[in-house]
Amino acid sequence: MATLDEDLREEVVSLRALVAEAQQKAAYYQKIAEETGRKRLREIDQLTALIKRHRETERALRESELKFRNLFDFSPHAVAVVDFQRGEFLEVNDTFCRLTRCSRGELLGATLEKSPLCSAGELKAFMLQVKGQGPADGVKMNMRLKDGCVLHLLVFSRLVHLGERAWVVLTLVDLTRQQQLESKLMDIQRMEALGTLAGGIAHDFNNLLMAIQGNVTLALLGIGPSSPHFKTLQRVDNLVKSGAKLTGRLLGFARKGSYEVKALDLNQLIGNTADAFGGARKDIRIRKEFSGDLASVELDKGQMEQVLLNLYINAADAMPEGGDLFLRTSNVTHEAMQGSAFDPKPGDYVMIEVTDGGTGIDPAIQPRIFEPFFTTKENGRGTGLGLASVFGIVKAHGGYIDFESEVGRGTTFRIFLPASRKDCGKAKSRRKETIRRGRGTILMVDDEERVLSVSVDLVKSLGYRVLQARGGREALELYKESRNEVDLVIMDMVMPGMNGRQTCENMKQINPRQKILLCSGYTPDSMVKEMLENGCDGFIQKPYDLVELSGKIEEILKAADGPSR
Amino acid sequence: MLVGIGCSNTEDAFLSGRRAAGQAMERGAVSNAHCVLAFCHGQLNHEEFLHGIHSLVGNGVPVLGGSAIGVITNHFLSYEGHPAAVAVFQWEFSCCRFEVSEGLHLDERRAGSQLVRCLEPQSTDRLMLIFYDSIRIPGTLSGPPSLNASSLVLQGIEQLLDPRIPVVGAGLVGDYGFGPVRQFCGSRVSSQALVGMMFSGEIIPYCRVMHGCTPLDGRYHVITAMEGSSVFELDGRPVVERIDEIYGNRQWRLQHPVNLLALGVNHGEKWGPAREFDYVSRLITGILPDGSGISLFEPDLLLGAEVQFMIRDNATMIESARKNSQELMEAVRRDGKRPLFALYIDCAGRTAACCNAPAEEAREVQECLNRYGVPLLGFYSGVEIAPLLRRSRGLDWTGVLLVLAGDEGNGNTG
Repeated sequence: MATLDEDLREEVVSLRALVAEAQQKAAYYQKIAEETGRKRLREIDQLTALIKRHRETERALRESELKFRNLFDFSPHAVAVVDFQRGEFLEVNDTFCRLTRCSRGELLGATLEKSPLCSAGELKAFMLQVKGQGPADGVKMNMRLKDGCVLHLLVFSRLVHLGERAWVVLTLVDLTRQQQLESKLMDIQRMEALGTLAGGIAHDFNNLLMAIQGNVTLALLGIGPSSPHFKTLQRVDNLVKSGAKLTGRLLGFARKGSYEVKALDLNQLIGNTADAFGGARKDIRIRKEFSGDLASVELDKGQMEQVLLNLYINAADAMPEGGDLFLRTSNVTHEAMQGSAFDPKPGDYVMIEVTDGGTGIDPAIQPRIFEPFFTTKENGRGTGLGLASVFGIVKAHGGYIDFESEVGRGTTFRIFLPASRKDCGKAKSRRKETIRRGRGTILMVDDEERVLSVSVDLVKSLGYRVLQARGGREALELYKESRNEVDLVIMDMVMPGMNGRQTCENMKQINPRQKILLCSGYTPDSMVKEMLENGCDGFIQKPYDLVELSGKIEEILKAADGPSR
Repeated sequence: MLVGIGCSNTEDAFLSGRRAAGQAMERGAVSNAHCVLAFCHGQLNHEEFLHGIHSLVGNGVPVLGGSAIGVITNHFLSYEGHPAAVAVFQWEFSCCRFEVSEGLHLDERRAGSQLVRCLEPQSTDRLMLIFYDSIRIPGTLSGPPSLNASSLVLQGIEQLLDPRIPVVGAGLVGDYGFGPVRQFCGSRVSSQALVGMMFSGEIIPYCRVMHGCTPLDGRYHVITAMEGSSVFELDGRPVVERIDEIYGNRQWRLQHPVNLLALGVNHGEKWGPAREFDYVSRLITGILPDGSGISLFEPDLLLGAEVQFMIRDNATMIESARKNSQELMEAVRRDGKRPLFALYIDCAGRTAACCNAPAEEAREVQECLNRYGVPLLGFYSGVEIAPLLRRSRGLDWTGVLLVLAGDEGNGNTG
């Protein structure tokens, strides 16, 4: 029994030892399992973190690629990436394709020499220059395209290394249009200068003609038709009038001609002039495409007729065998005129298009066609003032003129005139053709002695009493003394010291109802128009004849509000 | 049965619906649609998407489904942009009926039992497919979302449904921000609903669950303090401290949901080899705001339950998807059946972008089904429901592949 107990006790002890050992082993393996689990967790954690970073890098790369792809594709400048060693196009953007008029398919993979670019040699030279001298920053270059057109470019290039490969990034900035605009702008500026010069000469010349014509008129009045000198003097008078027409055209170019501005129906004006012209030139077929709702335009009818006839004549001359002359009118806005050499003021315009199918204008002389005295016509056929006066008259009306021409295909002139909201008025009555004599006192003001002298005699010959002053200040002094006697002041506008405007303003302060006839070798510019609106009574342009002068004086003195005193 | 699958990824919802439906009808040679399953990203205008589908299949055709984080078809997989996919069905004999139970957020159990009552179970029923709104209250910047519980929905269903009929389905989620869900309920769009489809007759369902979680260290822990879906203690110790020890740091506390760790219940042999189909895992949505415990996706764990820490392992996940989809298709073949249509309900946490996997595990499913020429519609969900260990359960971080099969000679392979 004792043995059995001992055996059992030993077995219990042994089992307890085994259990303790098993518990130790369980704890040990549990520890190992926990550590293994945690290690696995950390490994997976690290792996997923790595994948996450990789994914984020990929996304950042995609975004970067998209960003730079957009920059490349939507760049306003032509960009190409060329393999430096092989000279092959690797990438070109849309602008590059548009500029070079080549498709992407034609360029990608092609070497510079085998590409459709005719000036690939120059581009290659740039690449070599990049290697030898570093980046090219804005080097000017001309590139001839496959259709023969020449582009004026500014080239930028950079060598980019990626591993063992080298690429050249070429950026081409197209200066062609800019240069054309600059050239046109320079032409316009030159024309402005010429206009100023021509205007000054015409003004002085008109004063001379005024003196000559006045004296001739006086001589004719004195001798009568029976005199042996009568016909000679009449010829001189006619020659002076021809000279005045010539200066008138010069003033037209200089935009200082005589204007009587009214709202007119351009379709009617163009139609009338075209019919008249067509009657004289049966070989020219006139095609009219007029806008039905064309806005009216405020302009001088006579000047605009001159513009249109000049264009018709030029068109007809360009079609010696006859042909079609297209006349079109339409309403446009300043937006439609963008891209021209001029910068139109915002607003509505009326466009006149005159198109011939003639010989066209040689590109070499295109920049000069609006210059005064520039003509390609044979000696004696052209004065060189036709297009010059067209240019000046259009500008004087606040308009713009442009043209397109291609040799052998014809020319189109486009005139843009500011549209008016005024209704088209009726034509004024014809001017009176007889000398109108009268009575009263007239103050003549002119700084030019010879003009003043002959003008005084002319006015006297009409039966008026004349006071005279050689400038503004003298006139004002004289006027202060004799204001109650003066029925009318004939005031020259351009005078040294106190000019016509200042003198008139001073006189009007003394007597607001004083009647004043303005007079100039130039004419109604904005200043004159303003003076006419503010109380002056009329305008006459030098050189004037006795009929015109007498008519103006009578018209003003007989005006409804009676004498000015 | 004819089935066609279509997909789209465009912001124009009407166009998206019309395009996807058109594609499906063309691919499935469907001329007279009887039913449409449709899923689209939560940001897409669901009403317009539904109009787009109806503009092609006809206004009377019921459309079922709703919001999804992403979609999967045979050759398309996306959870970026505005992905959408549809399956258009045409059957020779009526083999499916559907019902909608509203007010899910008020009482999940009641919604479940009411759905079964409306469906009027029959002896020929073979499968119940359900889609419910996972989001009771959407997540905000200041707080996590409140979820509808799949376990309660299933309890309601089990009260009235023959336990032999498997329930497969999903809790829908429309975006990773846990925003509001919209559901297609026949001819209208709704929320907080439970939609059920009952398949009957000759249709035979085959179902497999793709896992990915494996036990961390094999140790069992007893839940000693919990309330609802919140667990406070394991083995009498604060669960938060335990997890700090496992990670060796506190970084996990910033993760919502916790990236790699889950809790699992082993329904198999306690000390036997770990088999994935013996486990039901619960994702940890994150640490509670006061740091007193952790929150789980479902409130179905009980006080005193033995749980294990599980690792969410991407390699295991991908391998599980490959192996299970292949085994399922082999089973269909073995039974001499013809696979007609496959539905893959994939947890949104299993996308490569979400779990930083080297590849999409759903690609394995795509490749397998493409090898067998089975039309596939899939979507990314919040919760998956499938039969596991003799009853249907709500699952986390799984993929549920359902294949509807019929006798040879029945249906297409569009």
